[in-house]
Amino acid sequence: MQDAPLSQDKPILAIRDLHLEFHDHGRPEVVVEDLSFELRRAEILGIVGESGSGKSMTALAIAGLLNRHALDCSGTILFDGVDLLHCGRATLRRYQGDEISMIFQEPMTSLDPLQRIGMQVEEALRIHRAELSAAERRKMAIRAMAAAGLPDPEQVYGMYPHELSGGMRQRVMIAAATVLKPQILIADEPTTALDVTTQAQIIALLRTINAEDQTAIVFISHDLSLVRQLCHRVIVMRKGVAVESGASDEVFRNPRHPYTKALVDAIPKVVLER
Amino acid sequence: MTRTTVAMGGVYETHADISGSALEVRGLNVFYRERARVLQKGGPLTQVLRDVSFCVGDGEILGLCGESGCGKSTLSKAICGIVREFDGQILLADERPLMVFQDPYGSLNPAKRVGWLLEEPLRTDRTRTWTVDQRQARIREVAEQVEVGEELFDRYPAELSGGQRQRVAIACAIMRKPRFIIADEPVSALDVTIQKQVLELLRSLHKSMGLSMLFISHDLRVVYQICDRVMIMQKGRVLEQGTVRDVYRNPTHEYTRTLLAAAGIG
Amino acid sequence: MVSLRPRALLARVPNRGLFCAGAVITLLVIALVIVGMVWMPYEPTAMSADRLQGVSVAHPLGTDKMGRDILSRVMYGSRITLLVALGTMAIGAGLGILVGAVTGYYGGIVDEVVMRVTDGLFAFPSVLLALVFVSLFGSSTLNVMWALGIAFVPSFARVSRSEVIRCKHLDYVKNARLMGVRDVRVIFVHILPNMRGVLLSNLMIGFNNAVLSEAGLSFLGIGSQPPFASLGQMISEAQEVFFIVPSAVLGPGLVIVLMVLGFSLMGEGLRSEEGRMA
Repeated sequence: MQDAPLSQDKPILAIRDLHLEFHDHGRPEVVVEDLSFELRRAEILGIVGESGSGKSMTALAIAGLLNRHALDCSGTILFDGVDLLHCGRATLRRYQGDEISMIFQEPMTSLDPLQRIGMQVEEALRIHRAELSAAERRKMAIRAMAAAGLPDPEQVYGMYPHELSGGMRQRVMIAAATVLKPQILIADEPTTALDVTTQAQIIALLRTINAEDQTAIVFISHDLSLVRQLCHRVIVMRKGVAVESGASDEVFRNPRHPYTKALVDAIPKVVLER
Repeated sequence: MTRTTVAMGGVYETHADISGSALEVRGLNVFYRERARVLQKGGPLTQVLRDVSFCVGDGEILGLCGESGCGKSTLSKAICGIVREFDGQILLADERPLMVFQDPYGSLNPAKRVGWLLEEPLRTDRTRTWTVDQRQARIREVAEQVEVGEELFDRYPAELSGGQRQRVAIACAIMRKPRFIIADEPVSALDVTIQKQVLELLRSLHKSMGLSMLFISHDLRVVYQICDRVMIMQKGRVLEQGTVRDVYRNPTHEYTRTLLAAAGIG
Repeated sequence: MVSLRPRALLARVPNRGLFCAGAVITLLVIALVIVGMVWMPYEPTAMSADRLQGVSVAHPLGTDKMGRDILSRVMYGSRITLLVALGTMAIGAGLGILVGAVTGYYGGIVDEVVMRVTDGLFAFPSVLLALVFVSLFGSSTLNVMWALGIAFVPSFARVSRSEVIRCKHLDYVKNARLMGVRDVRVIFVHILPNMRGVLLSNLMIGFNNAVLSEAGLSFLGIGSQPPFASLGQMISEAQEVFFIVPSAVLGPGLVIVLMVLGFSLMGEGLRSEEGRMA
């Protein structure tokens, strides 16, 4: 755990009364209900919950990836004075990949198998920094890949996803997401598909990115111990409702809501008397 | 006693005379060759398991821990008798074991109702014939053990929650009253609260039936909850094995220490 | 198995609107055929002196150049066309699914050989294959059925093979094999029922191709022999009188269009976004 950023920092992202509802075949299904929270600069915010808690939908909403036709959404997601939930596609695209980017759970499917790694890391540059030359782009991509802990980035630049291990692919994803040093990085279960030792390395990497670039991270996970290790603050969600939030150490040490208690109790405990 | 000798001199034996154990694996080496295609030779042999020896005692749960690519799944396939090319001995006190898989969404036939799924192991049992009444009685007995209500019998797997599905999968695995099963990451895909319930179920089955288990998991915390002994594998080799307490307290290998640290133990 | 109550079945159809529209059209065509089996305005082969009549009350679709009533002939022709299409599907889909399932499940050398042979068959247009078959065994309705059916085997074999290979590696199939379930049971009880979504929409598309191929073949004069005509033959015969009695071409043409449209819509309705039945 690092020190929490100063609480007087102005929030960079403010979510007010976020309400998401599917209307599938006439039967409305509430996915997220009246969710409000703020994300401060350089903060790591954890959103924990089990399947069906609405945590991933919240992540998609912030990233602007919701299919708005299939959903009723109300409330606001305020970033840089713009409501990301209701603004036009063009406005959204201006932020996506530049100020706000996202990494996913499955590093096997979130990379295009037919494109070289370098091209995929440069994608955001090609869209948001069209004025850059190919050489400059390459330089920035390789710098981002080195920062993401990929050994020998020059060589990896020309490789294809299938030539890399799961952990390496997740590092590529992180490099692609952070190449423009976004203000907000949304990480949706980024370590769930990885081996435990690799998991620890990716967590360490996220911590470094947060400390060095002041990137705020929204870390979505079902794994409470990971959230406790990494996050400054945590929101516990259940069936679309935030049941508890607060400084993560505090929430895990003294859970107030019975659901949080049940979650904490369910973590397998290992007590080794010496 | 049924003994099969496979290619490369391996021996696979069910109903073997191994008193006190449910499973014994001796000096197992498994090789893998890229499948030969027409007019093509198969690729070079790669060794996936190297000199693996261990045993699962009667009524014991042995945890098998390691990361992807360590040979866990090859080992479980070999024990199930699917791998036909190995060298060494696999001796089972009972029938070929059944498995409980990780993904409760994939391990149940989506086109069949729960009642049908529960009956299938009995219908297809080649060692004995079950009459319809015997089947129904056995299904009801097991369903009660794994706490699957009879109101679920008419449902399709898609209509069950993850935890319920895993219970049905476990019920199928123990339906023929085996003495030994393999559980391959049976709780990794479940939510933590459900995880706890399923682990408790496995433990109670272990106690009431004296069921022996090979419990495969990447999570040393889960292994600690349920296993008597643990075996750590890396790159096809057994690094160390011993009682959970001993291995967790005094790991002899650096890799074991890394795994323990990653799980937040020690 | 799937619940057999119509309402429950319909609830599982991803796009009910399209499916129902298709079903209505198909039922319309089937009704035409069934009515034709019990009652037709005239004997379809009976000639009369009223040649090349236009649309009238006595002859709702007019008469052809031999004075035969076109409506009666359309009713009769639809029966033949539908029969040939269904027979083609039964042969093509039955054999194709079987071949694909077996080769996909066992793999190995049998798979390689059979798939290369079907690849070879694929290289020829199905109509050409059917032409060769008919010229070898003679032209009759039954032979056309076999010819088209065999020409349709490869496409079904490919679909079912790839589906079986996909299913083979799923945990529940592994589970069944571990239990010692015999291979035939694994294929037919554990794998095939799960392919029904993919197969169903393929059957619908295949049926359309069968209708069109049959029409094409009879247009070329192959298939059922005069004076009994299928829809394709009627169009072929009537092309020279198109400007005198347009309904002689448009009548049978419309029925072909309805047959194809009905099944296409049903197939589209069954297909969910991922191309599988939900």
